[in-house]
Amino acid sequence: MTGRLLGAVGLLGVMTVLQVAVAPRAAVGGIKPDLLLLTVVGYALTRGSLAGCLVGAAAGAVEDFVLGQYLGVRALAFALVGLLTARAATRFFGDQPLVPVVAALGGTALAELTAWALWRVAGLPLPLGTGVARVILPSCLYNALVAVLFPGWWVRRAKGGLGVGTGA
Amino acid sequence: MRIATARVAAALAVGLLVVFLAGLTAAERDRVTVLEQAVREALRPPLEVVVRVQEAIRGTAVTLLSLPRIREEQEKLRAEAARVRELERRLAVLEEENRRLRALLGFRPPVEGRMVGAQVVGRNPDNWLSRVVIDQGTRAGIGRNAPVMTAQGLVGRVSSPGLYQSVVTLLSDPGSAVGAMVARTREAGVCYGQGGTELLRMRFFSRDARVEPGDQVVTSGLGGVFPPHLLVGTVVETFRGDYGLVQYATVRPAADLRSLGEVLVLLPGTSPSEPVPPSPGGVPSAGREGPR
Repeated sequence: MTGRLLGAVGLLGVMTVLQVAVAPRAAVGGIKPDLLLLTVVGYALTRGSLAGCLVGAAAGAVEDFVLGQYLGVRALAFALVGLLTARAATRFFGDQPLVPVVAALGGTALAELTAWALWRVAGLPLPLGTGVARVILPSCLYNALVAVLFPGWWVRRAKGGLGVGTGA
Repeated sequence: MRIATARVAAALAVGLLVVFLAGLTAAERDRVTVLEQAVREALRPPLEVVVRVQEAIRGTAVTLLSLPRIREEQEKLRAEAARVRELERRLAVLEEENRRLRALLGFRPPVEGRMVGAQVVGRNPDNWLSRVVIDQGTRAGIGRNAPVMTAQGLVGRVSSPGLYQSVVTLLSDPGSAVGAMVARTREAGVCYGQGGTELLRMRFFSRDARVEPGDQVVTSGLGGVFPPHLLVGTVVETFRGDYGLVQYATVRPAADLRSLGEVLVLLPGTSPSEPVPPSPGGVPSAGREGPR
């Protein structure tokens, strides 16, 4: 248990550094991949909804602390992604190798819309129409593209983690 | 049933707590909490290492790719050096003359005060906001709302100062607002970031503001945060909104906000040296700068 906790903390630390310092260099049209969100999706798919929710809350909290404003927004958004990704995958999962891609796509949409709603409530003027076109859709596509690179052994582990057989 | 109700109640409680916390921390603070500072300090060393490694890799790659051209350029540079030495001699003469003339006119540079150089070590993790992390903080004398600029122009202001690192809100951030004016006609307004794009939207105080594509936009100094006459950007297009009652312009920032490396932070005490006369349309009432 302690080992898993330390492993999760270490992984989050590495992903945060990469997200803040390296991911901006991979930006296309101003949109960069969200490595922390993809980490949350990965955790949710391999370790279940509770672990995904906790890791999501921690990852989002770190993002909020880096910004120093609107604390709790990304934490809640990522926690929701962690909680719902595993459950949606369990319910709708088939013997599909593209589960990480679909999970990344849906998780990104959920996280960005949740963050957008909370930021709006907190007073940040973010228009939805242009936001969907300029931020949400491109982010979903980029994260899904990165998720394609997930190795096959990871996908099989994700299937095992969800208690679904690997099929023929 | 009871379990489902309890879960819904718990989810609602968490949601309300987050909304409360986000609202509480929506306003910028002069100091961050100990927990936030601890997280930032934990990330600082690896961030600086990663940035140094990136710079080293980029420098090595550039050098290797440039080797074929270097020898040719060497010859050209030798001839250039001789010419530059002559120009330097003439420049020294002109500088002395300039100094004498400025003293005669009582001229002062647009910005007086100290500046601190800082390197950008990271950017905001999400894709909505436009913020960068710099490697200087309150230990270097940096406070909240300190203007940040590059040689090309204004970049933004410090929104969350830490001990050794600070977060800078860029001009293109949706929470950014800068008092600005058209350099040519002195028509005043406010430049807002839009989020998701580097372009700014300028809202003029006058309904019939004289502005054209290509006009340069500078800070007006009216909001009290940014000194006047700092270059903001260039007008790309003008249009009317709000049933034709308001004049807008799209402004492209002068500084490349997507590729920031080194920046300059203006320290407290930096003040404008010239008062800004009112625009022909009347003195605008407190166009508040900084966070919207």
